[in-house]
Amino acid sequence: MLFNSFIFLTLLILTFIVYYIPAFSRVQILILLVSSLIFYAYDQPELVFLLLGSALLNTLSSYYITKTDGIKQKIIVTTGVIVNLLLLGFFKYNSLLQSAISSVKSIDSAVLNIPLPIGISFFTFEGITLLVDVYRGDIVERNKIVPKSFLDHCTRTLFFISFFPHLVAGPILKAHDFLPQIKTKYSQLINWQLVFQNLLIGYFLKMVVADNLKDFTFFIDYPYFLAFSTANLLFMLVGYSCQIFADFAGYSLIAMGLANLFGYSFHANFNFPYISTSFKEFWKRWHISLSSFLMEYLYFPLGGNRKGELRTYLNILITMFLGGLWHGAAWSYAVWGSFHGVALVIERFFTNRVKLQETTLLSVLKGIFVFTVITIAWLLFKLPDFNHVLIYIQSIYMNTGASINLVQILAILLYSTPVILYHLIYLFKIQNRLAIFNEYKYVYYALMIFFILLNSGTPGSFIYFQF
Amino acid sequence: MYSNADSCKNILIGTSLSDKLTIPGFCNLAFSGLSFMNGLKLLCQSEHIPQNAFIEINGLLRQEDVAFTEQILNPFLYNLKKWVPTLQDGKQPIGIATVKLAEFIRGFKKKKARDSLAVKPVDNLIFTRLLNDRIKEYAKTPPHDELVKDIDKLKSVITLLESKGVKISFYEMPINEALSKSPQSVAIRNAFFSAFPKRTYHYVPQPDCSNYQTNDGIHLTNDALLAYRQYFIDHHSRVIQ
Repeated sequence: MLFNSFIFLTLLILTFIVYYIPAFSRVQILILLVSSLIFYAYDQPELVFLLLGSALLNTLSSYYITKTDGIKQKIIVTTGVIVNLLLLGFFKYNSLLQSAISSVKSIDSAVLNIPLPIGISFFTFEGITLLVDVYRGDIVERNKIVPKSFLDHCTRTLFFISFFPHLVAGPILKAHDFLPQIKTKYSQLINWQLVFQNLLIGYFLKMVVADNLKDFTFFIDYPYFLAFSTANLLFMLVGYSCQIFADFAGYSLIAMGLANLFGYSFHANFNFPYISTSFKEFWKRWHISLSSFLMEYLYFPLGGNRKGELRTYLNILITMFLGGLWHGAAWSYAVWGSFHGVALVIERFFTNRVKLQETTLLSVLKGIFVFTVITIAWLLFKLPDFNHVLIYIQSIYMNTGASINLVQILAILLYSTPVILYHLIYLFKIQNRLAIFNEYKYVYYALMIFFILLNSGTPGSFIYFQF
Repeated sequence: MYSNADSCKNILIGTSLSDKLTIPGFCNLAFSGLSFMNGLKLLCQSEHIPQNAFIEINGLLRQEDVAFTEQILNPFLYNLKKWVPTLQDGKQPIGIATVKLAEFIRGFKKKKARDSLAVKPVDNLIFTRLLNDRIKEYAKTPPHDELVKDIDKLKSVITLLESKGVKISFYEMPINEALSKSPQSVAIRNAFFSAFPKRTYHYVPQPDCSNYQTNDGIHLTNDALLAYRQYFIDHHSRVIQ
């Protein structure tokens, strides 16, 4: 169910109305649960049971962690994490498994045709945060995450995992952030300005920027790109950079706005990533919920930067490799993650040894360099077949004599402009030059509404739905 | 789809193989990445029916993207776009601005825009390997059931269009010569000749594929596309006479 579909709008309005009826204040969580399960079941009704099963597994494990201690706790949390990862591995990476054992003819092909449950990458990770947070008990007290009643805990856990704004494409919530927020909510406390801002900017980025850009970056796919000029190929790459940001950041903002509507808040998932002047900074600004999950639940347990320089580099590479692989069952994603891992390692190596004086010019050059490398890396993301990536790069080099499709370039530029402006406004803001923008804030809102109504692209799935 | 001003007497319906084919007097309803069934379904629902529809036979095995068709034909969106033209693709504010800007920029260009893409054929190990993969793919004859199912779907749509007065013809895009003679291409061709006999339906014959260069075995280079375009125009002119 897309956030910009009529069926979703209907579900949202009905849920909102019923949710805030005073007589139903005690069953608010159940109302959201029912809506969330309808939301999930709309596309894959048979896989709702997987969602319920995942919630039950994590509920049982986390509950019994609080009832035991010592080695038993460790066994429960380890088993719980492994089962979550096995579930993810089984449903998500079965195609890799299939290609590995395809020569074994006795294997029933029906076993190997496993559907990919939407959102599995997100809700299994959230289950892991629940188990680890309860086990550690150091960030938030256990009793704030796990109530005494098993039924309460079951309801709260299912709600945490299935709450529809973040269910299918994140952000990845952490148990210690979300569960303490669960209580009765009141309509008078809704921050309407925040809701309006998040939803408006989110829908604008998704419907106007991403949904239009996709019609032009479609041709990055093989074999369509073969016939395009060097200039068009380069602009399509830049366009794809803007598209993936607009798509994902737009979705995250919509998710935040929807959550705000029901009294819950999510942390920002994107913090103007394309102004980054280093790869380290990029990963603090891009898909923050994933990068912070990987840092907290993988990089730090591996040792982080506490075990010497070489071990730090290894930990970074492992984290980024697995982070890349999380995105999909294709080696190109692992290569993409590793690419970023190598960039982080090289950057760390040099910044530890070379100290340059920070000037505006240097920051600009670094920013352009980082953006260029990240944009080229998106090619690994967009083209799962590595051969096609090589041919694309080869085509950039070879197609210099080809005639330029000016309309496509201009369209990409125009639709990418909001993303560029979005980042520039933030840069001006942090340089305390925002006054002029604040003065005309409502003009920008009106323009966004105008373009949403008159210039939305044909709806496409959110790119991160596939993960 | 939405108004008489945009309707055409002749329509091409195909896939990415023919989506860049521009023929005078023809509209092109071939969609890159989609099936000819997408174009046909849109045509069935359109209020403005052409006289002639030419269907590309190469794309028989490509399955329809049902979500795409449903989106375009969603009653609410369809009527909204019909009565508010600025919501139609190509008539949206940024779409119009893009075209106008391109015309403005081209106005400054002194050099006449080249008609053809000077794309050098990609002639290296990687490309050859990929072409060989495609040859292996085309070496497999599609399952008979699959062919029958796809032809039956096509038949029902063609019957509907013919009941509305559309004359149906077929054309086959030239592809790599080896692929053109492959079991898959032959099976598709035979399936069409069997279901839609030549004595009843007109076919634009596939030209000699050895005269046409492709980027990847099936998609023509721009020079080749221009050559095919001329071939199609010449053939069509002879048939009309």
